[in-house]
Amino acid sequence: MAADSLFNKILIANRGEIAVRIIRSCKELQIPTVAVYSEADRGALHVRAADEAYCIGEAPGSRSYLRGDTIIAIAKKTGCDAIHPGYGFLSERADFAEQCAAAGITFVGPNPHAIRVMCNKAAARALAAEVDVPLIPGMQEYLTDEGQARELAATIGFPLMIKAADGYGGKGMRKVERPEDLSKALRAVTSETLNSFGRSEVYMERYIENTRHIEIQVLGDKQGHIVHFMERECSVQRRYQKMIEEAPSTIINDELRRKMGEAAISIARAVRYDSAGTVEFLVSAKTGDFFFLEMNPRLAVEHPITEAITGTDLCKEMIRVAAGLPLTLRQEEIKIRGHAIECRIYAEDPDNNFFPSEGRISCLRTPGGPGVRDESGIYEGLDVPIYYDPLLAKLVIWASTRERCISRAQRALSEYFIKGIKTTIPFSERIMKNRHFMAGDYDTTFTDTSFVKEDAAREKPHLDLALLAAVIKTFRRDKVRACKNIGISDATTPAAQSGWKMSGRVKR
Amino acid sequence: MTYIVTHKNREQNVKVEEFHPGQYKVLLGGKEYLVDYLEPQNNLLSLIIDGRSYEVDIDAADNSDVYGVDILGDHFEFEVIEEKRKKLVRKMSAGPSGRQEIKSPMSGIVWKILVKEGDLVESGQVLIILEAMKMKNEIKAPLAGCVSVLNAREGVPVATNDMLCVVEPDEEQSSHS
Repeated sequence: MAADSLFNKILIANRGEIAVRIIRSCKELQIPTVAVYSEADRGALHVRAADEAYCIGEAPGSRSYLRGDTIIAIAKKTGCDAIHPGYGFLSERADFAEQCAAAGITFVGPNPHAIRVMCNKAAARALAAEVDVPLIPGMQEYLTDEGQARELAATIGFPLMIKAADGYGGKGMRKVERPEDLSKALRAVTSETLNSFGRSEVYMERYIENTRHIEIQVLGDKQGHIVHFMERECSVQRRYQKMIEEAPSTIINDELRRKMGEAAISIARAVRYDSAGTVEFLVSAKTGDFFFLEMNPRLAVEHPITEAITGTDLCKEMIRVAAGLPLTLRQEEIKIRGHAIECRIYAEDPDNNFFPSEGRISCLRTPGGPGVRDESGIYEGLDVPIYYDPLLAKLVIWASTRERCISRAQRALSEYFIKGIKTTIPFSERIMKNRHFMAGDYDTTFTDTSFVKEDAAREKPHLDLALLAAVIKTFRRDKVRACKNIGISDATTPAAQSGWKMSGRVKR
Repeated sequence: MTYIVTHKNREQNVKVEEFHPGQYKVLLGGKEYLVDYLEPQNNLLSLIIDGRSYEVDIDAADNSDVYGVDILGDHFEFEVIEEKRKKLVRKMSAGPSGRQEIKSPMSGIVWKILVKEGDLVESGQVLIILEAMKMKNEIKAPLAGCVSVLNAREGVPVATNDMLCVVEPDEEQSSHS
């Protein structure tokens, strides 16, 4: 099919690495692009990558990237017939998708009804239940009294979790191992909830041991065809923030993959899903049971690892189906080849509690070589803005086996230098060398528990080397300073050397 | 030159001598290292020691004696001070038990202030919560004491190094480490 039959022009309603990535696909499809930028992003990479660029407001997202009306006005003015929302910002706003449609502009994403249903967790779960996709038992009802709680507990099964509806950060939660412990735990959570949040709505759900967060990539067209592109394993999370993803998962066999894929497709089909999306599940490594969590009706941050193992460009596919073309791939044709890992690079300091880091990127060296893909929106000299998500870049590694992929990731990370700000590159390096991760033996608690311990206890063989570097650096600095004090500009001449020695003597 | 290097509160003496431009003899922990040192890019070092090649990422603020060194996934912080200067510094500094000015580590907005001027606080107690990069960040008391000055105001933006508050050690509490 000719590329020029897709769209006349696309506006990318996003920024950073995803905007650059989308623009790349548009360029390859020979579709002209329009970038929008906030005042803080005038120097951004996505602005330079696009054919046209327009300022849409002040730095804060609410005054710029979330201004749907401004964005649609620019799209109309520039003759765009499509808008790609990326992820975050307006990507899951059904009203924005409807406004685009009303303006005669194609929203490169699913239909508004699908967005609406999937963004409402209760509605999404109800839908999953309707199509017989397993849910974590017990999630839907609030507890009214102990009698009802006991009955519910019997159907849910033990161990179970009692959770406060408004709980967060581990507060208002209790794990109950046996039926005998239920009363006490109920009382404890209810009173804690009442004291902390002023409300006492609690619910129960089964406690699933060794959970893994595993999601299925789906893609649908406007003709009703839907396929899935296998799973992504996203269990390396820190406080619910994904840090490292891989595909395929080490605990999913062909049979489980087929079942989960079918479950994901049936959920997508129930809302006539017609774009790229992600269906998230919690999977018990122990039993192989899987439970629907939620669906993200947009392009996922971690989509590149799926692209790597299936040899596809999901962004291009999204644009094609948005233009009304039917899917070109049949499910039988989608196969896994090799293994992929993505390391997210955040502007956070992993040695200081992941405190956000800001500043100017003074030096940037990205890795290369076979199987290495760097998706980034940064460049040397960029002042990292503080208004947005701290995700700077994604390092995506592909190799023919998982073992080789990990080895390659270690190699690529060792070549990656970002100076001027702190990043999570060292964290990724240490995960890649962790024996549990290497064995594929980890779950969603890994990063916050066993990794923290093992990481803290790890040997640091390069301490002396680091010390040498710091000392020589100081020595050289002091030398330059001393020469400046005596008025010598070139510290390397013999005169300077003796001057340096002289000043040393004088100090004594 | 002899330097005193402090790492995790442990001090050691290190002697450095440049015997040829770019070539250094370093005596550390009783061992002598011959180091070929080059800085091909700012604060990115190439070290060759005994034929082994290393790339070292170093961070050094202009007026500071503290260096952050990153090498192969590990991060180290050292304070490196020339021997004679260190003796002088030791005499003059208030040390970690002195008056602590707490400066903002980043730009952001003061989201919540959990203490008042005059409050007694414990070491590690959360004093202020800053909002930046869509996340909440806790600013903690570095020692036990009293909040003698509170500059921060809820809802007011702060820049890096803005003084948020001051914690003065409590006389009784500082008598034991």
